[in-house]
Amino acid sequence: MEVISVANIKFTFEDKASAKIIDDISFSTGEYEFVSIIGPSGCGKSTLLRIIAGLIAPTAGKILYYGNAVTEPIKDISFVFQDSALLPWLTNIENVKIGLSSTDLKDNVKNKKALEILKRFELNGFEYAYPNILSGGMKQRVGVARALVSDPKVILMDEPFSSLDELTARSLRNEVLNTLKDKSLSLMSVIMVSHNVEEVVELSDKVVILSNKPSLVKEIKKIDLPYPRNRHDKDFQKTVDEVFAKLSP
Amino acid sequence: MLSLIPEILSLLLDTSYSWVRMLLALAASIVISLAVGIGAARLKTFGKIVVPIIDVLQTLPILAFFPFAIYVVVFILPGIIGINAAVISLIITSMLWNMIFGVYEAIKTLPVELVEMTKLYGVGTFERLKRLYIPASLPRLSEQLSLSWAIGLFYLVTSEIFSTGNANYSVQGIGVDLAQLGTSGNFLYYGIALVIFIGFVVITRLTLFSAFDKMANRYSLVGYDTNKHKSRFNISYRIDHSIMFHKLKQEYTGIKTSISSSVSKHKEFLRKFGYLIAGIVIASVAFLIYSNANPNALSQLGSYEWIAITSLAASFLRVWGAFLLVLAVAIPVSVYVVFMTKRKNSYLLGFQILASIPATVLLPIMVFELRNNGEAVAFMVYFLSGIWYVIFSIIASTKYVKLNIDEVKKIFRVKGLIAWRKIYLLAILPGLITGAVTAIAAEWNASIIAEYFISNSTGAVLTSVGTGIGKLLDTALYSGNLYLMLITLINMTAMIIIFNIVVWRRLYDKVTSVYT
Repeated sequence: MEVISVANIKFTFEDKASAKIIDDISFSTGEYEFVSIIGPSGCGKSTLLRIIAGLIAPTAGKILYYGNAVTEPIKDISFVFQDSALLPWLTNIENVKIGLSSTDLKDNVKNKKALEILKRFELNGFEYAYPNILSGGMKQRVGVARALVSDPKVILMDEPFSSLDELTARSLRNEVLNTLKDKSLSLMSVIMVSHNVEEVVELSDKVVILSNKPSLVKEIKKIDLPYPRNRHDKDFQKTVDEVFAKLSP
Repeated sequence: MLSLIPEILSLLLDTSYSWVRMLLALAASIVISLAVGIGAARLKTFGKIVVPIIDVLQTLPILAFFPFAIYVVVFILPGIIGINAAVISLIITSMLWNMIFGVYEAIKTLPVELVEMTKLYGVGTFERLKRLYIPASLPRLSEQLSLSWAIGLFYLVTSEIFSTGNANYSVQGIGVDLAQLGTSGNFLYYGIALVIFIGFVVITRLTLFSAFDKMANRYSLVGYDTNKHKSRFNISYRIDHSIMFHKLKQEYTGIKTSISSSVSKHKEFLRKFGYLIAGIVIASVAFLIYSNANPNALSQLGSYEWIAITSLAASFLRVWGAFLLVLAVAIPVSVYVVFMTKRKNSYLLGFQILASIPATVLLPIMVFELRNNGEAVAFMVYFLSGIWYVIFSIIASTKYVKLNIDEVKKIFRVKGLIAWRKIYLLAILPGLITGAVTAIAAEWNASIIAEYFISNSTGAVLTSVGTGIGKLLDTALYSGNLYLMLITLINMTAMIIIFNIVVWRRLYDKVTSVYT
């Protein structure tokens, strides 16, 4: 069953008639599927992700979530920002509770849920600290915790690991992947924008490869390698080479 | 209608004279601010001396400089040229300080790689100024121009027509016209003069400042990797790029420096000591000039202390009362403009034009509408003097976080009271504090106009509060009682400096420790 359908999306900046960014992009995500969007810098990957989130309206086409049109942000679709986007004036637990703002839960329940998820992301001890004392990796953990605390069905991630060191990035990738593949949890689909081919091959069931501006889908590549994937594996390397070849102009 | 034409032409001519003075003052301020700002940022010793002195000078009510400026300039250049030069120098002293700090901050936050590059390639001092320091200063300078222009206009009215002791001076200009027409009750011509004045303000904003903005933005370093760890969400980055940032910005630089230094407390002490020394030096020089080696000067000064303190207390209540109203208006207006409307730029342009219409030109209307109520007039002048600082500071300080905040708010559907409590009010806090410091300083500067105003043509007192520091300073100026003026200034300056150190700095320390 399709969780998210991206149907014939086009996007042009209103004030620049000639600046066509995205031209007729379509793909979909299935249940428990990790989909990555990859393409050259400035090809509109982040814009596309914001259109899927309902933050930006497309010039044409539509986004469907289980068949229903998404025209604004909805409870079931959450977002992880590239630079974590924590509110510096709120403690980490308050930042996570921002993810529960639209729920009717009582404050003590919100607190409980926020504490649980912070513990799951190994942030216990930092609940009542402000983000400024956290490392980049820890901040991004809080960002992911905020995205997951409301038990969303879909999370959209905009280059979430690009500013982290490799060890931190690896551990956070595993956390997200395990959350998706654990069928006892609510998460049904992840869409990630990235420019890191190896990361994309390591995580994704499907890779949407975009061309340069205006963006078109060059290829939708399925990756059937078993999880957990080993970067030194011959098949892994072969897939990386194939994606690289498709990305080349 | 036709009979009005000669008067309109005369007002247009007078406005042009005023604008020539304003533009000359602006040009001189640009040159001085580039020289002093770059010098203070690049030459350590010069910076250590100059920055605290400027910081103290900008807290002094500008009218207090009048007798000094007139005495010096008219002595050097007698006649009408000297008087015009005095007026221009008075306007310069109102415009200059925030421009110097703008340049100073631009050079202080210059990417170190750029400076290193000029050293590596052996670029000479003059070329370095021409190719690096001056262009890098221009965007920040451009941000400060509107503010300086607005402050200059505020003092235009009072600087074109003034009395000191026994001597009266006036020049041809719209400031004189507005004051005379307004105070003589000629409201038809006053209205026409006001329309012409506002027309000049709008045209200047839309032509000269827009062109300067465009030119200066070519040299913008926004987007340049000035600090690899700074994001748009980083408050430090926001503060570095805020518009309204006179003294607190410089204090913040001090804070940043002291955080990164292992001897922070020592440096902090030195900074405070610097302020103290600068204050004492300025007060002593002023005292020496005015005492004329009079052995009774000190006791004469002391005899005025009680009246100065009680007047200061009365003005303190007025300034802070007006400031509470400023907050009540500025916070919702700023939050609306920053977070709730897509027409932010239109509002900003409108605000810049409105802010350029100084309270001083509206004073005659206020006096007329609120006759016999000096307290209400003072309250309105204080309010109008402070409000734009808070609004502009908040808008500027949220400039670089808005996109992220907007997206977080939408994705997690944060609305209503929670949005106010957890996002809007906290997001504007650094800008609010910066704006509050400058707004309060501006209110104190306006005290001399807010609390006491006399008709230059008739000499009648048009508005007056019961007691207040502005009134005291005014009466001291008009009567030529320089001892009273000096003790009033010393009390006011000491209070502003102590308040900055004890209240604002601590508050800012607390906020920056979380937001940085």
